[in-house]
Amino acid sequence: MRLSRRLLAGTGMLTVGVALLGMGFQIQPPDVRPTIEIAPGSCMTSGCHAAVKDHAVTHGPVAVGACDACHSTVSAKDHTFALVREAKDLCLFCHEMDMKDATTVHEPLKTGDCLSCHNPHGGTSRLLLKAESPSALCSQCHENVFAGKSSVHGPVAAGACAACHSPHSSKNQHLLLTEGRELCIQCHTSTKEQLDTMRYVHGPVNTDCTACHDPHASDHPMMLHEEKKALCLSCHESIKHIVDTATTQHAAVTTDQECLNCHEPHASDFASILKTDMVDLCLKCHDRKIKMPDGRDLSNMKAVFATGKSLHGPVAQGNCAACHEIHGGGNFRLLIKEYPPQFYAPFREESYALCFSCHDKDVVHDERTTALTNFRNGDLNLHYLHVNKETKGRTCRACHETHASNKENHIRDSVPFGTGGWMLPINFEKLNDGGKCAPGCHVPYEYNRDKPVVYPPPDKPAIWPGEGKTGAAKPVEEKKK
Amino acid sequence: MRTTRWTTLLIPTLALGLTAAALGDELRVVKIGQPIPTYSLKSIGDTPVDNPSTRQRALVLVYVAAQQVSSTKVMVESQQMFADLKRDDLEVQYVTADVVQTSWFRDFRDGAGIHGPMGLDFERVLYGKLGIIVLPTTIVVDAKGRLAHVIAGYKPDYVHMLDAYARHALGMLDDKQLEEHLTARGFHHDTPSDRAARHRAAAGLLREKGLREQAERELRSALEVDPTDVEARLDLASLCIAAERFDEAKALVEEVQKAEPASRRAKLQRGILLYHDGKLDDAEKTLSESLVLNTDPARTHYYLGLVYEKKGQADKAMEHYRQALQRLLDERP
Repeated sequence: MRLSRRLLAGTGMLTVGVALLGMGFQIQPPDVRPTIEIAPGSCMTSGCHAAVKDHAVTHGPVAVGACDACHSTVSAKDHTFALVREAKDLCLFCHEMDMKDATTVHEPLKTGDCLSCHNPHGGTSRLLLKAESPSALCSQCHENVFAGKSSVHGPVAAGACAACHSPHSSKNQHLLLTEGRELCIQCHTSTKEQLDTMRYVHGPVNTDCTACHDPHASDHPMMLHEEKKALCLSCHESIKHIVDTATTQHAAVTTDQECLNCHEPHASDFASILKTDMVDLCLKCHDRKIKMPDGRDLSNMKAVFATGKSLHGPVAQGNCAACHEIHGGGNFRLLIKEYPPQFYAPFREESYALCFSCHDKDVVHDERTTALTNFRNGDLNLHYLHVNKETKGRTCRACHETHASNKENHIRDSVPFGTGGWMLPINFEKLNDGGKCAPGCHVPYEYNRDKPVVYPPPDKPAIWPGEGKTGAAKPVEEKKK
Repeated sequence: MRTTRWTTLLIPTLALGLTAAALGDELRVVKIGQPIPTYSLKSIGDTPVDNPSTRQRALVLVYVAAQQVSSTKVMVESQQMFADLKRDDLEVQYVTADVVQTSWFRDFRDGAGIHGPMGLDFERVLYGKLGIIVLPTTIVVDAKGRLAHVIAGYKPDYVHMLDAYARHALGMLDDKQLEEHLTARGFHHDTPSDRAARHRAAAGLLREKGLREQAERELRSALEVDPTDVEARLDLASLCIAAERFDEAKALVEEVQKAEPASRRAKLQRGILLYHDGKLDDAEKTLSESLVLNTDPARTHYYLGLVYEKKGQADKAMEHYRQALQRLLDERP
């Protein structure tokens, strides 16, 4: 009823309008309303309703003068008309609309108010919309979703609401054309390719892009709901804790693209959705000396890796994160656990927590072993001998380069000693069943796993029998000779 | 096109067992290709854990420590890999020297649903024979009992790497395929071509809905972002044809044909434009060639129908209209 009333009222208005405009037209409208039956094709030609046809695109029945497709005479004498069907049935009689699977129907369609969006006689496009553009039409009821926002989705900015929303009905919420990420990847084809071909996909991307992006607009780049880092940390709580409590912050997390310096937001072939191989990523910055705020220099790691042929396991595997807390931390050199930075340190298991994350701690607890290490003279564990001391235990760094060296088992060429920048050579040499060292620390020694080299008891109960002496320690057998 | 956007970044030699030692995945005693020692260990269950090569089976031996996060991860992920692989000729065994932690392991295995046997390496006998360096260490052994691969420690891509190594040990992957499996590629996205593709896709959606003006705006944006985008140019030409702006369409098609003389879509559009230009013989020739190229058969048949109709060859025209309809019906979902 409402529709027919509106239409009749509209028709009346049109009549008046045409009458007012008629002065410029050749066909003059009649002075009085007709009181006889009017042939369907003559409504517009008679001049009364000529403007009904005055559109760039006219509705089919209007174009062919089939007014009676929609209107029927109630009283010829009074020149009154009714619609041939009620509400949306009038439109749907011709415009078949399959809504049986629809879970969401646009409110005007639901209430049969097709005319709130469409002009029944014509319009500027074949959609016969009542506004200049679809977006202008949508904004008549829906609030402006991007006003004042700095980052606007392309289709929204272009007023192409229909790129994502169906105007009539949909199986999906918000009248979306498809559900979840499927809608987005219809246009974001490169992201689709990325998701289809990469090994590691960010969880939310598998379901719904709107977990991170506002589909219309936001005040953050890429229409993110929040600033990049804040958004990431809103889900990644453990990382947030690390970042928030770090006494030493990693610039990679706090500068430029923040999390996106290293991670892809959607998918990657590299674990943890990294942008590339971890070492390559780290070397993007650590390929030069870096001056720390406290004045110290961080080494050029690229140069370190390039010169060393024997790499520490995690370095060889490209897994810097095995030892370093990439997101920030409280330990020396952003290490994940404690590791003594000195040459000498009293042995405490906790001080070597980093090393014992991977290496069996018994390697420095057991004085005798044939299984734990190859660095043994017979079954005398030389790791134990060097490290496990109450006062001047030698730390791992005394003999091993942490990242890479030119000697087997990433053993150092020389060791830094004292505060004067001294470098004491180690002169380690690997032998068939053992090895030998001739360091500045003590006199030259050999070790053999199968046939232990027997040395006379040292003057001191430490590994430094040669301290204060010169020349190599002589094995007992050799002395006998 | 895609290959140009891929960059191989990881050194492929990571995949090669021969170079494993140089790259940190190694054992102190047994080297890649050498037979692993025979062993028989008491286990948490009743059955002893022994070397399965006598049964002609490959082995994933996971040496773990108690109460170590990385060990728990490799146990769970190796179990998952084994379950996913579903191979009778592969065994997964877990071994630990932390024999005093038996009850912890029992509880953990029950909680995590780990079914593989768990050997107890008293006095670290097997540990020493193999020469374990770090914990956890995952050792992949082929069906002949030879050490094939070692994964020292745990990395986030552990399960991917283990899966590839296990398949290689089982003969499901050859050396080259293993290398390909382990090679990771970077993804260079948001190039001008990507952004243009987004505009083009949006234009397609809009055109489907009859929003030609907006579709055109999207296509013009695509060309602004990537002036070399041939497809966007042809989409725009198609829109111009639909809007009967033939001169504009002609200019666009000519630009494409200059850049890509072999473009099949451009040829079809040229045929259509020739028809609209009244050059019926040229249109017939071009559209017939286009039909052979199978660019858009329904559309090509339709326009050939129009050409023949205009030439007064009704039978030929009807045949092409029929073909066009048939193709359209065939394309319906």
